Amino acid sequence: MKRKSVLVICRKGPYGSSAAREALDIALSGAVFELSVSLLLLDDGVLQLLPGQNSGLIGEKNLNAMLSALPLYDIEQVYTSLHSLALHGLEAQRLEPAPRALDNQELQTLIKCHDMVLTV
Amino acid sequence: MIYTLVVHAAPYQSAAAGTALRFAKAVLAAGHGIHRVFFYRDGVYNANALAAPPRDEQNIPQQWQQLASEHQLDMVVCIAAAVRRGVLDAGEAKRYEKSSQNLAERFELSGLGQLIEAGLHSDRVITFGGQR
Repeated sequence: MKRKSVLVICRKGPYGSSAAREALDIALSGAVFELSVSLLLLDDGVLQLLPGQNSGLIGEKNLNAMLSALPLYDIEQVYTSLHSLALHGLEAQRLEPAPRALDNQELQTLIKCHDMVLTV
Repeated sequence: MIYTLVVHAAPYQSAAAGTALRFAKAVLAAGHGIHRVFFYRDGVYNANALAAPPRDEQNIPQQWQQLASEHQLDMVVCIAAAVRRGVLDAGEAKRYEKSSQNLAERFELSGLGQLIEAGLHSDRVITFGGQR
């Protein structure tokens, strides 16, 4: 049987709500089930990938460590959109892990080619 | 068709929980099946047995329970999200040495794996109140 694929989409910044952490938890659970998991961070969600987050100052656990552990769970590719990068004036290669930036057409294709899409 | 519903929002603050409930009723009325309703993030408050809304307002936790008993719905509440927010069953109340439990009957605490498993066995997974 073909491995089912899951796409987790998150549009929220790293610490404004529990969304980022709880989206990651879904992604990791999918990986534990040996599904093919992709993570798509849109809009403010791309801010989760900013390196050097000093979240201890607001009493939050740092997301950087969790995000850099994604390859250990076979979640190799993180995606964002060109629009999201432009929105925040960011370059993909300065983010950790560096996401693949998609145009609108590619976004549609990405969503369409997954068996299950979960938004957080 | 087999559906799984994912509820991310608490009742009352937003319309999402009520919408999910009405969607569930519509799905069943149309002759489809629901494999599971999974409550995540603030959605865990749908399972709070201590919610006591005024009598002339809808009681969403109670309506979920009623629907579950009519249709043998499997209603799973994410244990990590629930315990963090103070929705506990007897076992968790004991484990964390809390004075009371408040998980409503017919709801069950379990892991996120139950969401993934539900997705594997459903034709459609519909999320309510995501992106907040």
